[in-house]
Amino acid sequence: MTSATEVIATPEIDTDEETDIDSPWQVIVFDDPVNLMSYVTLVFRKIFGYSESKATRLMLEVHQNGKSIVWTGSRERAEFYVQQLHSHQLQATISRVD
Amino acid sequence: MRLRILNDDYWEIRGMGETEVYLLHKIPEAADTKGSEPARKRLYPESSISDGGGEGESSLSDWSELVHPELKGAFGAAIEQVVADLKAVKPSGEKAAPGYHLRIPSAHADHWFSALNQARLVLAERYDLPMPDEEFESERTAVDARWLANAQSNLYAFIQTFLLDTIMKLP
Repeated sequence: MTSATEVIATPEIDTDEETDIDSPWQVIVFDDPVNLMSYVTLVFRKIFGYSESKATRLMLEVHQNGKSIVWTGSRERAEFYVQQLHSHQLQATISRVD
Repeated sequence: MRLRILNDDYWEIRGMGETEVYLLHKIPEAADTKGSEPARKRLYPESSISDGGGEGESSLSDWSELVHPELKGAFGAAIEQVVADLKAVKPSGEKAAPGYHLRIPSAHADHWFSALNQARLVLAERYDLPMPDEEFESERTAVDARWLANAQSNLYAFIQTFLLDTIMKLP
């Protein structure tokens, strides 16, 4: 039994683990020579619900820079989005934000 | 060859020559990744997750186990739908519009787009096809497979563009 005056040891917290959970993840889409530009824009609108102007801006980033970060957030959601992008035959990956 | 929307339920390819019909029937073969590891990796990417640590490595195997079967199912279903639709290719029987025609349900547009895209992705990997704005250099003989693959890919892109501009367009 523990009396009210006894000091209770503070449990150790693995801060690295907390950082892992809290760090956001980003979805990156890569350019390829096959997918039509209007299709890439359509896929961004369908999957992420982006406006036509935002989807077009991201598509142009992919086309001109070779890749673009199209979404940032939780790992689970990022994996879901990458799966969706792969099912639409776009090249995509997720990466933890530094 | 002409593409048009018939009504809310159907679109149509009209005035196809023998070569165009032949190339449409080649979609399943063109989309088959057999014998080309780069093409397989393009349709079923393995490097899906990178976090620079051991956790990422384990996730990669999970990804292949969980996601690839779903992709194979979806991509296969698209090819099967196109093969089924192609059974309806018929001679037009019209002097004004000779050649072959095919009437396709609009509800199949996503399947058609996917199948055509699979074929173009695999052809691009297998034959190292150029970017759309790059000049195409080839021997261009009657038996040049790369030249034929480029022509095939361009035909498929033509149909894809029609689908994007008409049926698949978001409001």
